[in-house]
Amino acid sequence: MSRGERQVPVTRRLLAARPVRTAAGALGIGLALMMMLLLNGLWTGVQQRVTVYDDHLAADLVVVPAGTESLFADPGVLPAATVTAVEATDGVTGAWPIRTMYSILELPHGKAAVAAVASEPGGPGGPWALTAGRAPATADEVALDALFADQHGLAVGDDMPMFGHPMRVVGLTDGTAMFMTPMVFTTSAAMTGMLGAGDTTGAVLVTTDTPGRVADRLRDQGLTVRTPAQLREASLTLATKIYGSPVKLMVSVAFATGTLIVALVAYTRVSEQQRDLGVLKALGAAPGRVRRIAVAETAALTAAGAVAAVILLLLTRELLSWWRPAFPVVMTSATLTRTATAAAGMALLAAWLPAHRLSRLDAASAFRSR
Amino acid sequence: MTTADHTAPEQPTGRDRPVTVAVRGLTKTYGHGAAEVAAVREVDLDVHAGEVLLVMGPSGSGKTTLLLMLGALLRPTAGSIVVTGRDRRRVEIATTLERELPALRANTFGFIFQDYALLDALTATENIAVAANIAGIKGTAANRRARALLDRVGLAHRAAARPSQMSGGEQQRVSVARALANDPPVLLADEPTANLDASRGRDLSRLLRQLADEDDRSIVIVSHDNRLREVADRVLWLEDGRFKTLAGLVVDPVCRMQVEPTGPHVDWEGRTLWFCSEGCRTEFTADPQRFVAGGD
Repeated sequence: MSRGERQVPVTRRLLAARPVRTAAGALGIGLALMMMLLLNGLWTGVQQRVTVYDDHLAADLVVVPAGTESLFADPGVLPAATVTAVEATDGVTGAWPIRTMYSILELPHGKAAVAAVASEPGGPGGPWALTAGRAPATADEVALDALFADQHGLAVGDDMPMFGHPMRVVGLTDGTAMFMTPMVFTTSAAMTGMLGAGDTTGAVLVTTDTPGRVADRLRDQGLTVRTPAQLREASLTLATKIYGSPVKLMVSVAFATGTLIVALVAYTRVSEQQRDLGVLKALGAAPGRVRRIAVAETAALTAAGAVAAVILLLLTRELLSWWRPAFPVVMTSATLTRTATAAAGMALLAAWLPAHRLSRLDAASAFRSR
Repeated sequence: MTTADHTAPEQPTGRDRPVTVAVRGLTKTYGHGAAEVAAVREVDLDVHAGEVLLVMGPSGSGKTTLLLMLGALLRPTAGSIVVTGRDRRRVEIATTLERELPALRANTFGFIFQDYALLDALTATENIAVAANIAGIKGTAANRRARALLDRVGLAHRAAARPSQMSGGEQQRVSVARALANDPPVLLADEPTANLDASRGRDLSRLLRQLADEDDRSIVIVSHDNRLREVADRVLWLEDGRFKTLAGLVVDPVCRMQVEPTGPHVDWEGRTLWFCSEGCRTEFTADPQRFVAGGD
């Protein structure tokens, strides 16, 4: 007798015995896991999109109207003179006015929600990546998010109305779509003219080598100062308030559904194999060994389901990026780790019931005819 | 007349060999109070090494319950079962701890099932090797043993076949080979010929006889099949959970069951014929020649 050597791979044989059922089980688990990955990926994509402008401010501080937490959600105004006052503050190396707001544009093909940004030509706060053309420089020029332009059939050189004013598209920008709202860039002069608000500005971007001290000095002047990180956090908090709960609910439902699917697949397989496992028990297999077969089968199915989930997700992401580019699916190592952990949790939860059932399996059942 | 007796009736066999299984006062009841049913009642029995013991009886007589208790698959309500292993160690099954029963089964008993109970997912070799694995034989040793056993039952050429690719007779031979994987001192067979035709049933009977003779193995068979009588050293009749004297029983000419001469009967051509049921008697009286032409 030689111990520690290879045994008949019962689990593998049971899985291979009915390949169609095994594949169907793995696919079911894969679909459930894919739903979790997709929802997690969508949520990560939403988080990246809602902070895309905050992440590219190229400023050290931002002076905002009192009470403003988020540049787009709280679009207040500051006196135009604020720019000069900030610029004159000790330690400030640059100050640029910007305006940010959500708007609805009346386009030839219909209305479109956009995140409009007005900045000084050559200053921070404007487009940071261009796929075609250039940044707007005069009061009748705009640069559009490339995906938005493609959806609306706009190209460099085309005319486009903005707030009733004729504008010309001079550039297409890359990676500038916030969640559901692509960005449209124009100059501060153009926006001031369109709004008829010459004596105001939206916010002031500040560059400095000593942000802490400068922020204190600006606050001493009665101004409200935020860092880009604070604005980013506020955007995330707002997005979480709006979308977080439903997304978390959907992820939870996907997890519960996934667990139930894994459990159902595992339970069904164990029920189908009850006779075989009963025979093993009658032959003298310890209950632990029989339970291990069930758990190993569930784990193998879940692992196969996880592979299927990644493949399905990649296909779905490609499909979504083509069909609905506004819904980004972002895969991060954290998302994958979370989903893998969830899959392991699902497998453990799902394996419990059949394992429990097998521990009570009557070995004498082998003597009953099929 | 039939006599009800707790003790297995003696029949002439060469039983000067050691006792492998000793059963005393074995009882199994199901349910409680008014709903209590006794499946086996205070049975005493000795099974000797190299003996083929055939236990017959009507359906519901307690045959399978007795077999399950002998194989440590069912706890008796009362009584004792002492089994002697290959190492001459004697184990009292009834008092063995639950967690020790699987190892006891794996090392002491070989089981042969009515419907073969082979795992469809495994080949013939693997079905045997997995039983060897359970008994502690692993790797190439298990495979070697499986192939040797297949050769012994005449199925070396079917080593890679799956149960679904084999005939009933072949499957039952694989089942026998699997029962031998752990080289058990006791083989327990539940209706082993029930799903086989006459020829294959006879072959299997002879194989079981051969296994008992060559390996000094005790074989307990529960069955309705009269064909098995020719290879049995002893035939016991179990009815209502008790052994009865076989000599006092007669054969129902219709269904060939052993029956007590106390129930439905007819007088035919100067003799009395007894039946297990009114159905058999009616069937007989409709066409007696059909049942007596071939003789008993």
